[in-house]
Amino acid sequence: MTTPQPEFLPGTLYLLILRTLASGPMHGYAIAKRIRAASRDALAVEEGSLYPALNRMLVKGWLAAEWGVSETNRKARFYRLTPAGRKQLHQEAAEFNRLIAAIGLVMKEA
Amino acid sequence: MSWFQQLSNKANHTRSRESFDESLAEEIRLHIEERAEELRSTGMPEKQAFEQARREFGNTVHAAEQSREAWRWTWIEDLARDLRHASRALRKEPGFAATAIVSLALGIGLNTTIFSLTSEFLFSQPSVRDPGTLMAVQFGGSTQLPFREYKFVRDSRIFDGLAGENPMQEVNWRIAETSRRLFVTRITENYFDVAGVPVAQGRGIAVNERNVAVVSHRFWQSRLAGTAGVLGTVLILDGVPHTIVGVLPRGHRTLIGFGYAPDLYLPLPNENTSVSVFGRIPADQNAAGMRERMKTIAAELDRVYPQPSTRYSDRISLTSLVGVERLNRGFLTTVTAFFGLMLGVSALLLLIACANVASLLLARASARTQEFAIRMSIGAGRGRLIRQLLAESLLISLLGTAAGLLMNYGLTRVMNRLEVALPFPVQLAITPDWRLLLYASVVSVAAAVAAGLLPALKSTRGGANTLLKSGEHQVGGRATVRNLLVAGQLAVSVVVLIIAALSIRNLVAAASLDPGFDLRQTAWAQMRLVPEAYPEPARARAFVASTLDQLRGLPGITSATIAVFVPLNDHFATRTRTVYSEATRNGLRLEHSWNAVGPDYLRTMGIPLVAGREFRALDREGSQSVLIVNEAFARQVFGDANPLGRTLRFGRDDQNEKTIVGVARNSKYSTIGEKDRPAVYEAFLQVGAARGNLNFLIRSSGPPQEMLKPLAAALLKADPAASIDAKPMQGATAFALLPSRMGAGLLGTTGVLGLALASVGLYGVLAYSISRRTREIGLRMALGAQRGQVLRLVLQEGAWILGLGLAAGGLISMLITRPLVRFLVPGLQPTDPASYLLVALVLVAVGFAAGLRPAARALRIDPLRALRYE
Repeated sequence: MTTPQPEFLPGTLYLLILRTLASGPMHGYAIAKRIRAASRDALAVEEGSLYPALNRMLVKGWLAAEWGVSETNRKARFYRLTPAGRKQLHQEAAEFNRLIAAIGLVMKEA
Repeated sequence: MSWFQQLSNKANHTRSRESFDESLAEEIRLHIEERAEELRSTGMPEKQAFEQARREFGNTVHAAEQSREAWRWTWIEDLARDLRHASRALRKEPGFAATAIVSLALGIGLNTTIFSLTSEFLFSQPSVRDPGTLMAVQFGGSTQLPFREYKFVRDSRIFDGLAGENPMQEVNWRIAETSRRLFVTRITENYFDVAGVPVAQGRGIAVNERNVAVVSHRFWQSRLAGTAGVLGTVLILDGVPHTIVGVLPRGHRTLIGFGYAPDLYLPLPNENTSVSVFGRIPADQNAAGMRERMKTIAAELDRVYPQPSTRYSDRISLTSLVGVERLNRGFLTTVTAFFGLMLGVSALLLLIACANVASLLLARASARTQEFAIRMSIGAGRGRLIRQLLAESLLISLLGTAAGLLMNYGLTRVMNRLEVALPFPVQLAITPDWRLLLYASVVSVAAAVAAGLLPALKSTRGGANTLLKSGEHQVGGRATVRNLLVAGQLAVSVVVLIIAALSIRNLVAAASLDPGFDLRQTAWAQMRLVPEAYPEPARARAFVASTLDQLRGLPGITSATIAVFVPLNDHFATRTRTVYSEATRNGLRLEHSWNAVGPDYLRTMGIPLVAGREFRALDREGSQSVLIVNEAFARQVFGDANPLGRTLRFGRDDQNEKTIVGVARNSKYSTIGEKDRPAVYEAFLQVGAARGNLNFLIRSSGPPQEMLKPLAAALLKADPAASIDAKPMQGATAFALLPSRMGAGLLGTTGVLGLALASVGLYGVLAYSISRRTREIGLRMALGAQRGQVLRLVLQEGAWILGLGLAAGGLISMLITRPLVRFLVPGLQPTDPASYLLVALVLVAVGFAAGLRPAARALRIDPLRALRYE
């Protein structure tokens, strides 16, 4: 955890959370773990910003939350995508891809 | 996602606020435990794993705070929560809270009361429909227009209605055997219609109606006992029955405003009069367009009714009845300046009160340094702390404002009922209105910021570490900011006190000014005749002559006379005329007081006769025209030559040459403050107009109070239809002192309040400084300091603050009190040394008193106990 973390592009934390939850409901720690694993430890969500982000997404209506039981048999709050959240994911993913492609073009040209 | 959806999400969330905090904590706990479990599975010992997981998560409070933030109802909710916290904090320290709230309540109470008074007096709207489009109309620079001309303009229909009034008229109301003088506003027949004056009962006066009256609420309540069936009641006014057709609502305000409150509205008795004219601006016109139309009409007026000396088309004006426009003329600028002064002084007082609260907050904040340090170290941002502290000062100021508004309500109710010693009835109708509420909220927020910002910034400066380290453990640290604050507060109170001292000195000086007459044995009977009963001046003069004879015959009366003007009670007794005499052949333009008086006037008023004789009963119509002048007049016209027997004329065309028969000592005429004004007296029985009011003056051998009854009875016998007001002259000069009294009363009260507030502040800062330096003083005493040295140490600090405040305040006062000279009697300067000395002495005394208790406490400090705290 001591290796310097690349800065997230603004707004990408939402995108990462949306994408992670697309495969099914998950609790907070699992989301952080999944993002780290999927990025092969390159991206670590700071815990300090994860929960505020989740709450902001609840306010926006992209996520819903309910209490369930974790794999370790403990009471945990599971977040899942709402239809609005799924729409948001598609929109943001498309925008993100366009942006990455554009940056790629610039990098190639320069 | 729409903002509306977000709001409804938040709303749903709000209902389960309690469980949110719990579940968030649960979630965070789970997160850390899962991470610890994971670390443990890699072989880390349990305790170490848990601690690492904790560390990795970072600041849980911060995360929780940020998560809550997402659901927050923006600033309203923040504010409500901060205020809730603040009220809890204040409840814990009721002594502090009460002192702060009372300080602000006094400051805001006085400030808003002055505001209410100013707003009522200068900016109240007359009780008419749509006051913005009703304007005062003037042709030829005169406020009055002859009725004929008024009708001409009215019938030209350039206005959407043109009405006229004659305010400050009088009428005799006959009740049983006596008559009472009432104040009335005479109006043109269309007045109620054009102005749209609201009526509480009945109706206004209608077109072509004669012998009807609309009465004021006060008249109905106090004179007619507030009876329900008052409509249709008949009043005998100047001998003619009038039927009451309407009652005005409470709080009715007249067109001329300034609190003038007539008892009745009556139709004009005839068209042989002049009226003040008010016009309704048509909806499709503005003031500029109307002035153009007025010019056209004025040219017509000059053609149809040419005047010898003036032209109606000169100096046409159309002025608003509301706002600043009407304040910009004549004596009103002084009145306006006075209210400006009062507002300024009350703002200074509020500033003192704010400084008090600020220094209390500062003291409290430094006692809470540890608390702030701890809160900052567990993640509260500085902004958050400042917001919390400002919320506390806002709460204090809101409570102070509420209490201040209660004070305002109480004081203004008293003012509304106050009977002021003016020659005409005045009633204020101050009610809390939106202007007051707006002003109070602005003042409240400004006070909160003024009192709270500095302490909040100062006490949170430097972050957690500095705060934890510094604070109470310091030895010999000086609360410089507080000291400067108190010095500033003292400086402001010096200014307030000097203004107060000047106003009181002014009252004393004005009251002890020699008016130039002796009224201890003089009484004044104001007699109003029904004008229609004396159509020719000669008949009225004959009445006066015979009445004077009867008065002289009364036992206990040594002399009786009559005067057109009673000195110090009328501002209209000044004339500017050109004097032609042997000494001034080319004419001397001279402003002088004028009066027409009866025989024995000087003796009755106690004015010394310097040379020649008084008027006699023989100085009447047909005999040689005679004149008495005062010394100032004689000196200006004749120099050192003897004026007796000289003749003079007023104006080149004056056919009536007058002979000077007497010279009177200078006295006061219009105001108590004037100095050596030239004055002339003409003989009443030669020139007196004698319509309406007659001022009979008598000198008695005993106390004048005993003569009032026989005097009134004798006058009533002379004309049973007259109304008579008899009073001792001594009280009659009260009117002349009214402005000085009002100034001294209001400013003196403000000064005393300011002094009280500032001394509380000084006491607070000294007491606090001692408590802060307990250890230092203990240490010094342990090291052998004598009691005297300790005392000096303590008093030195107080003396520094006091000296600084006095010097700064004195300098500021010298700079800003210069314009006060217009309110002061001649001879009294704004830099009056006695006032400055007095204020300095009072403040030093108060400073000493404030320092006594803290100093005594310092002497009682036990070195051993003080050091043990370390």
